[in-house]
Amino acid sequence: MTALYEVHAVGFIRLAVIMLGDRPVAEDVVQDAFCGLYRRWHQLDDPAKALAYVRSAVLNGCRSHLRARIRAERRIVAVAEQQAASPEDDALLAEEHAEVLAALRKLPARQREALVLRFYLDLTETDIAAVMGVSAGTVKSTTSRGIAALGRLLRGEL
Amino acid sequence: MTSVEDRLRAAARAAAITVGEGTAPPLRLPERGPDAEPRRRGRFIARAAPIAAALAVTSVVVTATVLHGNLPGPSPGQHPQPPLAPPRYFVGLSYVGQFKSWKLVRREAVVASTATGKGTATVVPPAPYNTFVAVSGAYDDRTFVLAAQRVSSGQSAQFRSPTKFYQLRINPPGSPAATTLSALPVPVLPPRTVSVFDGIALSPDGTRLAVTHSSGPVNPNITVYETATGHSRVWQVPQNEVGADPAIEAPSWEANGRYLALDVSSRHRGGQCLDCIRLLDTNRGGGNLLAASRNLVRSPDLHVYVTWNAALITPDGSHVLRSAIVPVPVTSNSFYDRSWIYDYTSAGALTRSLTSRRGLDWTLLWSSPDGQSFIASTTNENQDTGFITAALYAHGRWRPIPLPAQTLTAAW
Repeated sequence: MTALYEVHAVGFIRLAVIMLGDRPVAEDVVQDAFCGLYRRWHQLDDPAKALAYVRSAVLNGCRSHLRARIRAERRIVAVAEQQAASPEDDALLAEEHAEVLAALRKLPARQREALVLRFYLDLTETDIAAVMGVSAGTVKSTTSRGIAALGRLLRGEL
Repeated sequence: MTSVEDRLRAAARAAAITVGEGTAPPLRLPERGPDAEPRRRGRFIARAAPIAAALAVTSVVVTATVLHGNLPGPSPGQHPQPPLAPPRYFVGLSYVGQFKSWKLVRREAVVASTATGKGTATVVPPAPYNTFVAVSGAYDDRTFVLAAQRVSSGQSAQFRSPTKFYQLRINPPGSPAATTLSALPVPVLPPRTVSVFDGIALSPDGTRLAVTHSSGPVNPNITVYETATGHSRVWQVPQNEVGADPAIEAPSWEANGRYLALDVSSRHRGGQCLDCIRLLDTNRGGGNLLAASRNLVRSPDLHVYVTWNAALITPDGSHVLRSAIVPVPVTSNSFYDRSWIYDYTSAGALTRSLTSRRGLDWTLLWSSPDGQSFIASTTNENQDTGFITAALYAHGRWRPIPLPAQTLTAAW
């Protein structure tokens, strides 16, 4: 378990950072995912699929966190303020990249997830459909709408 | 010109490499072994309250009268009967103006008709406060409590603003004003004492206000205030009984106004079951929450990524309704989220499971005496606005309840 974490943790943290824009939260999500794997290790029908399990768990964790942000905003918090990358994070990214990521994080959660799976992890539509639990057609339409919305955001039309 | 897809690829990779190789923190596995409880995440409940009297509020009047001394309201010592059907009126919290940005965080209270969703009165907080952040109601369908804060544009309020509680009364027809807003003698909570407003619950007779403090600089606790005097009692989870990230959330009262159901959770379990709904006897003195309460329902070990969203005890105390987001296996190692509402007896037996594709993060807002019908809300899917839709579940069917535009939470 620990060896698996040492090899793959950074990759999963990177995925969560892209989804959430928040390194500490991303680390928590990945920690939780591996803790879940630890608890369920004996239930995995094929330990070789552990990484796929963790990836699903990380994405679920990101979804849950995004929902929690919305719930928090319903209480009090300004989500946009939270979702914006920190100044420290901004300093590490070129302005162009920061602009794209800020636009990405304004998309609805499912569009954001589909785009990250497609254009960061380079998963196929079939794989994305399996991960998201939707049809390949839904992946295609979600990705298409997400790219269109991202373009409009970057052009300042939204 | 570089395509949007290419720009996205480049940006994602640029963000990824900010996480350098070898910078992952050490893995912290559960201390209690593979059977340790899954972590549950935050949830919110706006406790609802039903009707006893029929009202006819017809005019739209903004009233922000701050009263001191005796407040109008339900008579203490009486146990109002919970209504069999949804109350005629509710109070929703809605964004002020047209939604454009999360930075516009001010919201007002709207008294609205359950049948039509039409607002009949709008209430704004008295200065210096400028937004309401939580609402809960009594059984008489005319007494509510609102929590107010002061925020600046673009500012996260919850850590920075004090919280002031007000009583909102819906006045009888013919009154000079449709509503009256009165400051409660409950102390103003200083900034940072309520890290996240996880829930308030006004007792059925309107004489007690339960406020949960889940985390932050204070230990997780439930405080019950007497609305007439501001006197309070506090029950805490002792620090040596909990692991990381403990939380007390989702308060809801039985009709007797004595027993209060709470969702008490912890990332790592301590000596007692802390991942469950507990029933607190508020007639007992403050102190140790675990000593003053007993387990009602233990969260089933459904899946490591189950998110428990809300809980609501039925007015007769016979059932507990809970909502959860449950990852559903798609393949042997991938999952998809599905929302469920579970109905448990007060003995912890699961009697009913409902699922819906309508939304995910269901919040339970009102229940009939035995829980056979209830009102729930969920955030609109694919909208990162936080606006909710609501529905009544009765006789095996969901029926939408219209809400005023841009409603974020509501209480019956």
